[in-house]
Amino acid sequence: MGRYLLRRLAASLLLLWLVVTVTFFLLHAAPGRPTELLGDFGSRALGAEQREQIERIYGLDRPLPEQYVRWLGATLRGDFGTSFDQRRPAATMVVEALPATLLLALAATLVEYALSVPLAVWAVRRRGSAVDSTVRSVSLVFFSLPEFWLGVMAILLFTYVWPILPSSGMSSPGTDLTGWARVADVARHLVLPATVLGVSAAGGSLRFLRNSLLDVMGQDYIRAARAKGLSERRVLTVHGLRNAAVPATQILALNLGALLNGALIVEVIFGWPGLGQVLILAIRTNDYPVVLAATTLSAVVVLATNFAADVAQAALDPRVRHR
Amino acid sequence: MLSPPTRRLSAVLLAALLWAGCTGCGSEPSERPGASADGPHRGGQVVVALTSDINGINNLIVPASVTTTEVLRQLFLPLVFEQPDSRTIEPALAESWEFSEDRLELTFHLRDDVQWSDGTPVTADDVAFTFSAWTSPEVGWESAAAIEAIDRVEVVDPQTARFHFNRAYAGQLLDAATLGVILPQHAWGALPFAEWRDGADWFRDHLVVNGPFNLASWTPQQEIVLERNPLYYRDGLPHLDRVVLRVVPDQTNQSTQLLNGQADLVIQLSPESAERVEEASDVELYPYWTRGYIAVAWNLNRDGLADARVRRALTHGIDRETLVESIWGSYARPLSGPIPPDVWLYDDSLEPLAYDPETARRLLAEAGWTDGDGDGTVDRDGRPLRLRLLTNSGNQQREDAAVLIQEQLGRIGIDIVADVLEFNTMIAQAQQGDFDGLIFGITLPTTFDLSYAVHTDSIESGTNLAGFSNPEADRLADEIRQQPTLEQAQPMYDRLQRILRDEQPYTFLWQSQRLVGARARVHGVDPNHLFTLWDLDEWWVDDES
Repeated sequence: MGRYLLRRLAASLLLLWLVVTVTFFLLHAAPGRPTELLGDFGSRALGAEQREQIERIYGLDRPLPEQYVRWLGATLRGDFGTSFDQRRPAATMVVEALPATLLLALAATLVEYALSVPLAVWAVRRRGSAVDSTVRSVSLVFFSLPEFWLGVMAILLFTYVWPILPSSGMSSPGTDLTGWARVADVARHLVLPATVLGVSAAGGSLRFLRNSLLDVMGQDYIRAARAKGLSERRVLTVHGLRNAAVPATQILALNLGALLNGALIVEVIFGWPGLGQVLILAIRTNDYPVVLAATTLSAVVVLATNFAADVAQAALDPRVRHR
Repeated sequence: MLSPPTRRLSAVLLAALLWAGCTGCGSEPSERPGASADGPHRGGQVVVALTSDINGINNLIVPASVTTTEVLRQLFLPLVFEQPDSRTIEPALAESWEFSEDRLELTFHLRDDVQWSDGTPVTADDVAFTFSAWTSPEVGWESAAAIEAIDRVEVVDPQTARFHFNRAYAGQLLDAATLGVILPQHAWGALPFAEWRDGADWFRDHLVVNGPFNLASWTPQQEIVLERNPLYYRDGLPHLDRVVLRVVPDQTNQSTQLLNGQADLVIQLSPESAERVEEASDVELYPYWTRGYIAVAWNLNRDGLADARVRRALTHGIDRETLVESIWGSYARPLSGPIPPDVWLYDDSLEPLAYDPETARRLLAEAGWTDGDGDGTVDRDGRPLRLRLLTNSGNQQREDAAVLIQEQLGRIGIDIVADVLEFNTMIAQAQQGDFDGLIFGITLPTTFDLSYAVHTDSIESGTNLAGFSNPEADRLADEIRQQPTLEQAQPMYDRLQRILRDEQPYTFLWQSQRLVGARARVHGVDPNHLFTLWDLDEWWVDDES
């Protein structure tokens, strides 16, 4: 088990290095430079000398390989540089925004599984029936709905037609609540973005769980359980779900990446102050340090979750760690 | 009779079906809110929906986004206030000012009753300190080039600051007194300039203000809360206790918040949302003409486009009235030159090039472009007149314009290939001159300096996108810069507008309105092209009941 974990850890670190390195070079190769969007026009235009001066401050005057080595060295020391746009430490900006995104992703995951697990169990129990085909159709609808459309419709329905929920932000305007009042306020603001993100994700996991459960229900040990006289509900929930959970943990980990991607759109629609908003703004303004810090942190979160899923899977299934 | 929720639901479903634009939907009777019976009074809070967050609170070290400039104006005062008519200047920190006879010295007399929020008086030392920061290479202020004509600032006495210029020109007062706000020497002078660009959080921790509001809190990407500055120099102002500026990036969400009361004011509505706002009884629309315009830059270095007859044909071939009507409805107007009609420098005696396909075809024929092979596209020497028209994605109006121009110019035999690119990619191709036509947007500088678009020197810096080079236009642009007042520059502006009309390096398309929406409970809203939150210290709200 120890050797397996070490191997997985080394692979994760290598992947992390690849992700950040490719991002670094792609970012610098992309059209547009950070100073191109500065200054005004006419007599107030940014002169060539001033542009060079600002690029010197940004460290963009050095050859690209040197910039990369300096950036990588600083990153390894935990210094992600200073945002071009806000002149704040990029790491601080990203770390400030991460909890909001993780909260959104966690809540969306809860919505996703609260929808997909019961529906998958129901479909498998009624396999081949109208219920099963309805559930499969529903999963396809969930899967196909674009998040931005779903988001806009949710805003119009629940904040305008029936104004029962707030449509943006993480807290009520200008409030400084504490304790349970704050928890309740954040929860109210979380309902719409988490539901939109969770429903979008539920389509894929519902189909996967249904197929995984069907696969497990055909195994010999399920037949043995039935032969012992256990009820179908008990066979399905105790023996079926537990065994279907092994591949589901992998999907859960992979889903986190998809949820972080989805959060980019959902955060903008709902004004949720998370990593997605920070990243999109940074991309738009060519704010290299923030893009790199956000990418690195997202990659760390996704890789760490996948690593944890590998560990969990190895613990659940001994065959995995001997592969 | 439909119940209100059902009626709203119908509107939502219709909006879902006709997402790109819905005219005439909704059936609320139009009833404009009247003025408050209470009159201005103290108290209350206004929630404003912003599209983006501020970049920071020290505008010298961060890019000057519109939002940042709007918010900082509430925290810090400039020396004087430029007025929306672009001719009048009102006192701010400076109660009076005068030029020396040779106009090389500009002396400001500061009010003696303005203090920073910690009680320290605002003095001429703050003005001199601010100037040092503006010009410091370590600070690297992006607008520093605009004040290259100011040599130094002299502190005459605590209430008198004198700016020394190396030349006289029309924009001296604006450049010295409105370009930047005055910063607190006693608070921010403690940090060496060399550390300013790494110290954005430091400025927030050491913030003192002299404007109408103080910064109560700033939660990045979520909200900025401003609270009344009790030491503000204008007695009894501001009326509002607090202003909450919420970051709501999505425009649909913004308009929904305005209609359902979650936001009191939205800074920029889409034309479709504005129509809904106009139909609502408890919301007021405040449209104003911006100083921004949309134009097509024709690349004069490309074969065919070097000929002014072809460029004139292109403009004659574009039906700007129809284009503007179909994209903006009544919220924009066609434009024929770089100076919009609401600016006093506009030459109204100049006849714009009208939509005239026949004249366009004749001009093309004169330039040697005819449909020789009968395929519907004009050609010369066997080559069809095919032009690649660029614009950026994410701006629906420009994308629509590209499609309409393609269709309209197709009718006079010009094959337009519309190419919608990601913004940075478009900028890169524009800088490299890799386009035939480019739909772009620009805001007219408050100094009315047109050299960015017409001067040969601006080709290299990239703002003269057309690559237009005309000795007379260069001379006029240079002379305008040297005039002591804009009034004296009027004849040169007239001539320059005529040259642009005749040469058509740019086809000017439209000037649009900024569509501000506010709840009827908010009074004193008076947005203009300088600031949407204009005179925020004089706003007041109806009592909550």
